[in-house]
Amino acid sequence: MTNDLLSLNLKQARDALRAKKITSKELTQSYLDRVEKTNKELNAYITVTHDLALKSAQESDVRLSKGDARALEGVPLGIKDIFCTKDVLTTCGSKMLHNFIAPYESTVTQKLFDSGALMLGKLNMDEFAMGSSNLTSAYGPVVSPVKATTHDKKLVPGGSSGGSAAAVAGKLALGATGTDTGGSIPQPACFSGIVGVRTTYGLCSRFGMIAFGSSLDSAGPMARTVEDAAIMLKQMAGYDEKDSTSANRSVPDYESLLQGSIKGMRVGIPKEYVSDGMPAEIEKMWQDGINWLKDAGAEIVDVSIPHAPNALAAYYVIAPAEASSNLSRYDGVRYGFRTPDIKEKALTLDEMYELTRTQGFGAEVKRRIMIGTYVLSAGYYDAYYMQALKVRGLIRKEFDDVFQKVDVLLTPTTPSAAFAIGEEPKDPVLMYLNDIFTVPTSLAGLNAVAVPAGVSSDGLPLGLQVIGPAFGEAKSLNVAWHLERAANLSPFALRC
Amino acid sequence: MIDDKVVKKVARLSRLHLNESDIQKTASDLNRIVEWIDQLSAIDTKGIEPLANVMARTPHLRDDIAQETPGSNLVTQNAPERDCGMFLVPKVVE
Repeated sequence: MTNDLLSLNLKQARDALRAKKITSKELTQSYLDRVEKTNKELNAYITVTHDLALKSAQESDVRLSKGDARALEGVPLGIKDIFCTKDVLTTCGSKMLHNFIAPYESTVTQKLFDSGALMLGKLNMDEFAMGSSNLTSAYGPVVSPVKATTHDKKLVPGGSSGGSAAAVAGKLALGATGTDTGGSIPQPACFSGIVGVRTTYGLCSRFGMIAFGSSLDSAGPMARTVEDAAIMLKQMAGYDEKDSTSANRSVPDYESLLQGSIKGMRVGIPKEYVSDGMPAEIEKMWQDGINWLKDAGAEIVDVSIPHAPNALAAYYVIAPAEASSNLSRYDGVRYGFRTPDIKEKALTLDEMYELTRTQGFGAEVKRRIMIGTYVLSAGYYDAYYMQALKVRGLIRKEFDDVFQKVDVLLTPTTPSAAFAIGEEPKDPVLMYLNDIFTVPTSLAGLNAVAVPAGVSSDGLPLGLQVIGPAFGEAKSLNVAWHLERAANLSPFALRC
Repeated sequence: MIDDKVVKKVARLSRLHLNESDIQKTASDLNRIVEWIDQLSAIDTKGIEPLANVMARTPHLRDDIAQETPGSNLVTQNAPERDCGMFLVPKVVE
């Protein structure tokens, strides 16, 4: 019975709960049992909220029995540990917040709980969302539940939403929240063979979402199928007066708009995403995707985003600059880690700041803070930061122009399949290149739906993404749904 | 070119401490990244406005009416050291 319950996807579970075929208590217990069995190996969860989950499940069962079910009543989800969840440890993957019990609820999680969903626990992530591998977490790396067919090595799930991707792929949650600053939803979704939606900036509220790059950060759903992601997104999105960059627009019913015909839909193929060294299997998958959409009635159009190749460099000026500002709040005064050296030595306030930050932050976070500080410092501000903002303006304009000619774009999500833990690139720039296809979307503040679309020669998931215009998630999800149907690979990891 | 002197200055501004042995590695990492970022200087951005935030509109304001705020107990509950609803830090004023 337990195995049957875990094999239900989010939509199936939601419907079965409503039809009273299953209870939230048994569904939630199945997930908690599976987490208990597998989390030691995968390390997807930093905190498991066992009692809270069962209590919420009980409350949901009461509502379900009365016919009073809300949209996601009784559905167990994992929450990326970047969202402040009231009275629950919220670490952001960092030692700096190792003891931070959030005193308030983020808007995104509040909305999910108001829709009846419940939280299984807080999911592991790269420290302060900086990374593409979940190797920078202070709580240890996440091991992907996805395995190659040709070797035994442990693989990364991708990052920074690595715990979220692993939890969904490994059946440790029915769905998970992720966040994206430079690709941290599509990239791990792709590496883990699941669906992830990087949302338009402003669609979901950032209130209570620990800040990395405030002009880039976007919350989004990660799930087994496009339909599951669409169902979750409807509950996560929406205007929030507590977030001054929140979009004051109504949220479409993504689920009902999913299956419409895409006949006549114009799908752009941006030539700048074709790179010299692109592996043949990724090229083939891209061509397959093009053919599938053609078969579904779409019109394929060659387009150009001339400065897309410069997006990554602009991002690595802007994101660290914003991070250096956002992370200046971690000083050992009001919350989180304070250097224990203060007990033995008489430190000045300044020394306390310095030791706290040096001991509390990991290497990648410190590196990015320093880059950010450098590009914002006197003498370099115009040359680096202002120039990067102008390049960003240029790229956004080029995307806007392209979306006058086409409805969506189709590109690979990542330049390779997941790499093994321990075989990650040591050169920081090579690590950053993992995000080459996802960063342009994030920099321009647009949306992308990542869908498993191929299998590598090692038996690993490869993925395509449908990139859509601002607030055009309904269109991207619609095209992605057709792509998913044709690829017939999702949910990937459940085939392992 | 980021040399030891620049690394020390940037570390100071960031309130991060680097051991002597780390300074060289940090300089080398930062130089690698900055070299790569330098491709941006070749791009013609004449006439392009810097885009700091894609939600390019004036932020929405609310009415100037006092609202309930969390009490000092809630706000200080995570403080490493606190007293009387205030944060405690090493002495600043002589």
